[in-house]
Amino acid sequence: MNRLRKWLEDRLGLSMFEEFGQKQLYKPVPSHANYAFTLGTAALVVFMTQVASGILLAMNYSSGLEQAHVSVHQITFVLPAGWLIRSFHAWGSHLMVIILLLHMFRVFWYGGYKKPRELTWLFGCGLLFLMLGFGFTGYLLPMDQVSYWGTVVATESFMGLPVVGDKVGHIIRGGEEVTNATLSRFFIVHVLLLPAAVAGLIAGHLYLVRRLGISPRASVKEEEAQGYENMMRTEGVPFAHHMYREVTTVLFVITLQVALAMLLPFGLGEVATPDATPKGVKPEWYFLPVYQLLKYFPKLVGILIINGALAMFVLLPFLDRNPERRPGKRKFMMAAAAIGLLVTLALGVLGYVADKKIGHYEFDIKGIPHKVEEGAK
Amino acid sequence: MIAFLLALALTQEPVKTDAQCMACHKEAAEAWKSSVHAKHDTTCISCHKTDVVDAAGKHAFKAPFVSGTKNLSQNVCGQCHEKETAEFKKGPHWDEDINPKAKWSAKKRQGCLTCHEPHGTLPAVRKQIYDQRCTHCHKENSSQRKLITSYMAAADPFDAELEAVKKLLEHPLPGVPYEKAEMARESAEDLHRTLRMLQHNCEFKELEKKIEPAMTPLKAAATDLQGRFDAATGSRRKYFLGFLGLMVVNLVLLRAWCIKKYSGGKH
Repeated sequence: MNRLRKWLEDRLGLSMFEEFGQKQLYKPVPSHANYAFTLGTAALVVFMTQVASGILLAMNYSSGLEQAHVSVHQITFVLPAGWLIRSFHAWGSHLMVIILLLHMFRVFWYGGYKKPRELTWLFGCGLLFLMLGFGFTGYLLPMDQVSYWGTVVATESFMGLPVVGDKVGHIIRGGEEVTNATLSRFFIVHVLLLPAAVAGLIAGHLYLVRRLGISPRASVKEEEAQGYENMMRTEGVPFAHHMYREVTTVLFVITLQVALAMLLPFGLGEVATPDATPKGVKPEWYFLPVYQLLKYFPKLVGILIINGALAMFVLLPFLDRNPERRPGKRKFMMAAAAIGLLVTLALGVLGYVADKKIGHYEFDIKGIPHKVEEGAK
Repeated sequence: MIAFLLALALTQEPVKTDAQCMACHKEAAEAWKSSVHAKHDTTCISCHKTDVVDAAGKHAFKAPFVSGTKNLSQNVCGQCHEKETAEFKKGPHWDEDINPKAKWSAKKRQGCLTCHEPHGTLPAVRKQIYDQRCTHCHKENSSQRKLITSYMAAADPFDAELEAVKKLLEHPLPGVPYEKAEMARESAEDLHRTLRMLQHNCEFKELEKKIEPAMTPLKAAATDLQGRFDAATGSRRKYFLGFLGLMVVNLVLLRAWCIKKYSGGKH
């Protein structure tokens, strides 16, 4: 074994990688790092499993308009364990969005986006948007009624953009309607462009995290005065000490993903037919707040509100000039975030109940309940 | 006289919209709203055509208006329900003198509306028709009654089995092939449609013969699919519990190893 090691060492210089690994392992992290600080690793692992399961699915998937549904049917009902891999992949996409949102919430809570980590936040925002892009493009691929009409509704939202709306819609759909061209480009974006872009952004994000370290509890001014490395010498712990938490979270997330895939597998609806619109078509849950908001305002106003809110979210490190990181000392930001979160949640819930009958109430498209008269037909 | 006729002409307008019919015929309208006809956009005027009605709501009964059970049966239903009408004409109940099977008096002759209620909510139900219509004329122990009850004893379980297979197929379990059951459902549905159509001619003996050979594969498909569902659900639970156990062991060991190696035994 030693001889093999030496043989490889002489040719590849493996000790360099080993030293790099050790250095990373013993790099200090702030002592307050808890389980909430493991969500980034969880997202990375879920992304890796998504790539693996996605490759397996792509091997059996056909992106032609007529073959798509047939191939997904084949995967789901005929291929051995095809259903499991597809459900694992589909649940992975939901888990990914949940984990990323929780991760960003943790960064916000601990003020981790503040100077000098503004770029880390921007890379993170980029990753979140790309992941939503994965959800958006992947949703169409089974080509059943729900996925087809969900995509029709979602792509229509882009057409409301001022001046360029029609052009943008045309580019996304590859024509006037959701057709074979839409399916082909969604598939290529889903399996080629987005993974490459995400891999690039992950590399950048990780580089920044390792270079700048995890933010301390102290304020920006204190960090600047004392220097991050000096602070970590006194209050930091080696990353290795924190690693058991990472292992725990990763195993928990994988178990959860497998549990969901096995016990609540994804089925497949009727093949998409452009002639018959099913009732209550909606996009994925993470697009519901945006989808619902557009119902309350003229399209242009709605789009301006959404873009304004997104710009504020992305540019948070530059808008929030308070140097404090402790939540108790950032009352204004905390209140603003709570309001933003509540409004988003409320819109999401309204989007969920809209155009649905729950108990004795029928909700209209704006989510307003109307009591259904007993015995009415 | 001229003035009277002019006034009469002014007060009488042909009924052009369904809303005008429904304004007076409230009961029929209410029943129609949830009927199969309403779903297929077959409205009052589709069957009854138009009539001239005065301000007091009195019908003039002028052509092309169609009213009455007999007229509607003979002249209207067949416009859409072509095959059913053709079958019915072959049978013993059709009201035409040229039909050699129609041996009883004209008063007793039947039409579509004898069994079907077009304003109602549901298409005719076999048992209901038997109880309310067939038994009305055909006496107990009559050969006709025996034929009908024997047919119903075969057709009702067939329908129930078909419903059971349809229910199973509503939510197919991923990973369990269901093509066999799907094929059985399709051919059973074909037969079900054929029976529904052919039973209009009341040749129950012939119909009964068609059911038996179809029932066996349908039953087999349902049992097979249910068995596969149960087996898959059971083995999935077992596999998952095994996986869960493995992950817990992994978690405990890895966590302990990490703590021992990197955290100096403390956490």
